[in-house]
Amino acid sequence: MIVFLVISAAIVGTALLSAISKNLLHSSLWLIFMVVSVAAMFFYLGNIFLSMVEVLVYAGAIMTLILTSVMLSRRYLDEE
Amino acid sequence: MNLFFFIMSILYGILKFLHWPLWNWYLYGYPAGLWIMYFVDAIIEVVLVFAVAMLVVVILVYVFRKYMADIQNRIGPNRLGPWGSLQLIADVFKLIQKQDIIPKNADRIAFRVAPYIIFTPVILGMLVIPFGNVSILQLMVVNFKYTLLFLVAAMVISPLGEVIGGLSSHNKFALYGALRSAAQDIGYEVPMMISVLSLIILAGSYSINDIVNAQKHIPFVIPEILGFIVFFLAMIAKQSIPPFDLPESGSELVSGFSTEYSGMRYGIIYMGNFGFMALASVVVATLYFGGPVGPFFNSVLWIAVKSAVFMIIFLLSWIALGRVRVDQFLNMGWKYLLPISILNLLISSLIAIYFGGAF
Repeated sequence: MIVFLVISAAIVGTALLSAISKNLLHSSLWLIFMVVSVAAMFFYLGNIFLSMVEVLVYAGAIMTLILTSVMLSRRYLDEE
Repeated sequence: MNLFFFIMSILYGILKFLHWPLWNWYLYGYPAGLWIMYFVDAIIEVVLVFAVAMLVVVILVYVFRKYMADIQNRIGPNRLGPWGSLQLIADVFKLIQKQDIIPKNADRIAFRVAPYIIFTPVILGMLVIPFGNVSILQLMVVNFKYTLLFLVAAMVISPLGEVIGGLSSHNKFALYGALRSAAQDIGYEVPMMISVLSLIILAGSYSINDIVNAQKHIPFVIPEILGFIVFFLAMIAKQSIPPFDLPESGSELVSGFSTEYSGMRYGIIYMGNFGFMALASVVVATLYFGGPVGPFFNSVLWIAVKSAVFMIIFLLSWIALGRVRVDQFLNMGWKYLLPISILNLLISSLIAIYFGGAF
């Protein structure tokens, strides 16, 4: 129960941080942490397959696409 | 570095702690001391894996420098220790006491986080490799049903560190390096996944242990030669060594995504690269050549010999080959490797249907 609460607090906290942070790079970093903690939640609930696939698909593929689009976006480049 | 190590061991401790049914023990009234014993045991195992991985990296760097010097008609490191074998330790001390420079415009948090994202997957991947048995002791730290997925998931994370590191440096060379790293990542990852998928179909299991046991009679490289070629090229691309060193091409971009890194942060990236080379050779030897299973007897010796052969091949590719262009690499990934891996998937499904008992 304690582990469940800690992980869910981590999920909610990182999701909030990724939504409210001004810097696009920071918000995508928080999104990575959110994906990893969702995977940890699946792991805790006993569905190891789903947690591995979560890391593989979201942290691996989707986050690379998101970071690429952040890299090419005008807003991030203008902040320099 | 110490902090990183500490966090890693605690994370791993939690991982190991969760997959063992200790929560049931708690319900049945087992004492708390048992938990602590288990946690300490997990941390000791992580320390051992970390130490072995670092030892392999030290040997690999030494062999790389001597070998490269030999091919280029130089002498190589020859000052410290017998034949210069202690040179890397001196280099590490030099890197530790260097000034820690972070560029003024850089995104400080992301800049600091990135080397660890590159380095962590090496240790995480080493945890799930079955190194064989020494009498009754099984040299495998974590064993559950989905270890192959865990391995692939760990290997997929490290390009994120390259992208974040290059992006947060606020330097145009680093930005180009990160962009190329992302492009390369997209290029080879899909064929690699599909060739891993055909391994899973052939062995009928997600566990690396079962995959090793399925290669008792025939190693998977014989029915899966196409998949092996794809996986091997993807492993070379993943380490970003020549011929696929687009993210850190030394002659065009200064050092690619790691241009702004210096001191021990660069040391961590460097160790991550060499550690990934060790991990990749062990993974290829395990998945396609049977790992500890060999002719005459099964032992740790076999996996050491097989992975040493692949390390030498990787080093040779690094030293001897030139670099492909970006468009050539992407063409290769999407137009050649992807159809080849899908063909391989078909072949291995047919084998699994018609000769299912053979493996």
